[in-house]
Parts: sequence; C-alpha cells; structure tokens
Amino acid sequence: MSQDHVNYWNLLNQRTGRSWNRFWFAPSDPLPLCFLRLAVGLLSLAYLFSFNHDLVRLFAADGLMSTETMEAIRGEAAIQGWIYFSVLDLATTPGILWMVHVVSALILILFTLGVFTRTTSVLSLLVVLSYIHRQPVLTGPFEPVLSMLLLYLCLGPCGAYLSVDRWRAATQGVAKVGGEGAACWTATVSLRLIQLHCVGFYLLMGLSKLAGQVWWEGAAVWVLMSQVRSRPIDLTFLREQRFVLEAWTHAIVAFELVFPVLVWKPLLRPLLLGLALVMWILLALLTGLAGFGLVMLVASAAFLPPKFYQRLAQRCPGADRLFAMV
Amino acid sequence: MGTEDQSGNSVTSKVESPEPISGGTGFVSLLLLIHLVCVGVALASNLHRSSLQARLMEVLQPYLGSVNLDPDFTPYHLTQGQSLDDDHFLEVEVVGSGSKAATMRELPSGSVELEQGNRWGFARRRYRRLAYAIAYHARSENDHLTGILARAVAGLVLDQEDGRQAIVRCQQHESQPRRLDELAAGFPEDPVAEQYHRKVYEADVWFAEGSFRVQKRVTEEEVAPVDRTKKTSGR
Repeated sequence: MSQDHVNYWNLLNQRTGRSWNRFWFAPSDPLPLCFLRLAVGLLSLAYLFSFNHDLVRLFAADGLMSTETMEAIRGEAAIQGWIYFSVLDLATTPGILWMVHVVSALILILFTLGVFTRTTSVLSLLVVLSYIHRQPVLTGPFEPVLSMLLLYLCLGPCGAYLSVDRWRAATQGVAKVGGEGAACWTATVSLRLIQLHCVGFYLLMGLSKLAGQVWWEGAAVWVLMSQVRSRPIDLTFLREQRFVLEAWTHAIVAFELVFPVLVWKPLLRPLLLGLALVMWILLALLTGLAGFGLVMLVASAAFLPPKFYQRLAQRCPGADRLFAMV
Repeated sequence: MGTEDQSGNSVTSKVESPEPISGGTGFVSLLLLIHLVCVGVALASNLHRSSLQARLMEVLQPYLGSVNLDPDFTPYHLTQGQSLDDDHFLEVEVVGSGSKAATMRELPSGSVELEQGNRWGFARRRYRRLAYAIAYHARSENDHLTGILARAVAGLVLDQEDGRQAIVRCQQHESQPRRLDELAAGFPEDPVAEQYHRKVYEADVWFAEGSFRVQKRVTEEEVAPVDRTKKTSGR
C-alpha cells in the first residue's frame, strides 16, 4: 500500500472520529429534552387513559386480549415470553387490573411533572411497554414512536428543568441536581438518538409510499378521504379538484423524503418544521390519526434549537418561581 | 455560553464544558453503533423483507421486541389502494336461545361509542385494527389466527349478552371512486350504503363443553361455481 493510501485512510479515520465525537459527545443544554419530557408524558397519559373504558374488556382473564389469546397469537414467539413482558399479566382479577392501571397512571404523572425523573422515566417506559405488549394486533403507527421517545428520554437528564426535581433542588439551595441542569454529553446522545430515529421514521414513511401505485398516480389522498368509517371529517367536496388532491398526495411523499435530508441544515430547519406542522395537521384531518401526528410533531421538535426552548421558557408565566427555570 | 453546531444543538466548548466525557467514548460509540444498526434493520424491514432481513430480525427480536423498536409491518404508508387498506369493521350477531331472531351490533360494545363520532381517539382505532388483523389473516387464509381472534371477539360479546352462540363477521367497507360516473352498476352515490360492504370473514362461534368452538363459514368468493351446463349434458 502506497504512502498516499495510508495517508488517506489516516485522514479519513481522524476526521470521521472527530465528527462522530462532536456529533454525539459535545455537551449540550438539556432544556429541549425537558420540554420533550412534558410533551411525551402528556401523550403517554392520553394513551393510558384511552384504556379506561375498555380496560377489563381488553385485559381481563376472559377479555379480548387475555393472556391465553395473546399466547395463541404469538405462537412460537410466546416461548420467549420475557421479550413481551407486561405488568398487566400479573393482574388476575378486574380489581387488581384497575389497581395496576391507577399505579401506572400515577407513574406517568410523576414522570410528566419531573418527580424522581431518573427513576420515573424508566418506570414510564416499562408502563407503556406493558400496555403495548399486551395488545400487539391492536397497535398502530403511534406506539413505536412513543416507545422510542420514552426510551431515549431515559438516557438523558430530562428532569433537569421544568421539573419538581429542579424545584426541590432550588428550594434546598442545591445548585445542581446530581450534576443535572448543566450542559452534558448524555443530553446530546439522547437528543441525537431521537433526531436520528425520527428521521428514520420519515424515511420509512416516504419510501414505503413509493411502493404503492396510488402515491405515484396522485390518488392516495382521495383514497384516504373516501374511507367513510375512519375519516374524522368529510372532505369529499374536493372530489372535483383533481389537481389539488394530486398535489397534496405528491407533497406528502416529497416532504417525507426531503425532511430526513434537509432537516440537518440549520437554514432550512425552521421551514421544514413549519411544513411538518402543516402536514401533520392536514393528515390528521384526512385520516383521524391525531395521536400519530402529535407524536411525530413531538419527535420532530427535537430539531428545534435550544434558543427556541429558552425563549419559550422565559415566556412561561411564573415558571422561574415554580420550576426554577434557567 | 454555548455555540451552535450544524444541527442546531447548543454545544459548549471544551474549556467551559461542565461535564466533559472522560474516556469511554469508544465503548459508548460501539453501543450506539450496534443500536443504530438494529434500528436501521427494523425500519428497513417494515414493509417487505428479504431472507437476510428476515433472519436478522429473528436474531434481533429479543432486543427490538422488548423495547418495541420493531414496527412489525405497521402500515406507515397509510394506504396503497389495495382492498386491505379500505375500512374494515366487525359485526357480531348473537343468536338468541330459543329464538330465531338475531341481534346485530357492532364492536366495541356498542355502536354508541361509534355514533358519538369520536374518530380522533385511540380506543376506536384499536377495534379498527382488530378488524384489519382479522381481514389480513383471512386473506392469507390463516385460519388458526382468525379463529383465535373470532373466538376472543365472540367470547367478549357472548359474556355480556349471556348468549351461547354468535356469528362473527368481518366486513370491508369499499371506498368510492373519485368520479361518480365510474361507479359500478348497483352502487349508489351514498358512500355509506350497504352495497359498499363486502364480507371478508364469517364464522360461527358457540360455547360447548366449557370452551368456545369456532367454525369458519365459506365466503361467496370461496364457493366453487356450479357448472350446470355440464351436469345437464351428462344426463
């Protein structure tokens, strides 16, 4: 191997290593994570409360998703039962089931408020996974994004601000809560993982649409619009506006393919996040997937710069007194 | 104060860094790389899978499954214009004991919930997903899974109704074409009309000897047409 080749590989190694370290390990402000914690906590609570009406009907011993039914559905995978652990499996009577449900809700409330956040973030993930694992055939596009967000929030100091933890530390005169509240690399790792995974979801959505003829022909929006049982509002008055429907279809695909590439450019980021807001609102009106739209918007918010969150925090009335804000 | 890197995150310079990472970047980097490969494989294998992807997913399932990082064929494409992408719904006809009359009602326990029009919530979507799952497995002729789901659905309703026998139906609600002049003969302009319903799966479920039994009914599509001309000529 010539010296030029050796130099090239050395240079490549050095620069890649430097960029990798800067990308993942440069300390950053955990404030964005704290806002994400609030949003993810509220979404998780909404998800949990959606089971209130059907809790016993779904998870009781003779319910729709009884452990017996679940084992039959999972088949061979049920042998590795530990993969699909669920605290709901421990509930053998409706009374215990409700008790587990109430405790789960309490954990999520504590996580949202930022009480013992390091512990409650992990417990919240376990709670949400427990509900997901008990009804896999009933889950949709919302759940994988929610569990992804909860998993990554466990890694970073998401209780550093806007939390009871922070308030307690401030009232006790402690400058920092276990080293939190300052820029740290774990905040960067957590935020970067959310960003990358979010981009992965956008790419998955865009590329999987390319496998469908209706997305190429511009007919997909009409197909979604014409589903009378799932659409939340009737938009079929647009049936004669062929070009509008086709443009809407193409815009969705184009956006989902462009977002993962251009969102890394600071100049284009505000524009793309603004377009994401419009796209998800319109998609929610079209399909009724409001929860999915919201969770994707929350994941996309990981791209907002810390300055945005700092301005937002300063505008919160009384936040400095209540939560010892930055 | 922090400076902003290319992706907009506030990055504190090394001198001011209150918590610089000391050593260990190599190990954390390795973990990150492994995790990202797992996530990449899971996301790339959602819609279609090569044999390699299927094998990789089997190996990675303990990790991906335990934290729900595998979307597991979730239709993120929203629609591909196939009949499976249409709305599906379940009907449970409870056959009353001693009476020939049957009660027709839609899950969940009630059409009441559906009629309230809460189409934004998670709860309603859950039952839609159940109908979708039955339709999916019925189309791939997976009688084992459709039987399990039909039994669970019927069991739920029969428990509430104190019944012993029910007919579970999964119906597709076909979508209307954009141009009304393209409507097939017999299809009215009203998109919620019965003519748009197509039976995808039907099964009898009854309670006997301490458990629910399921017997799938043959749908119209599966019945072989009778060739009457042949019969006549054979006589």
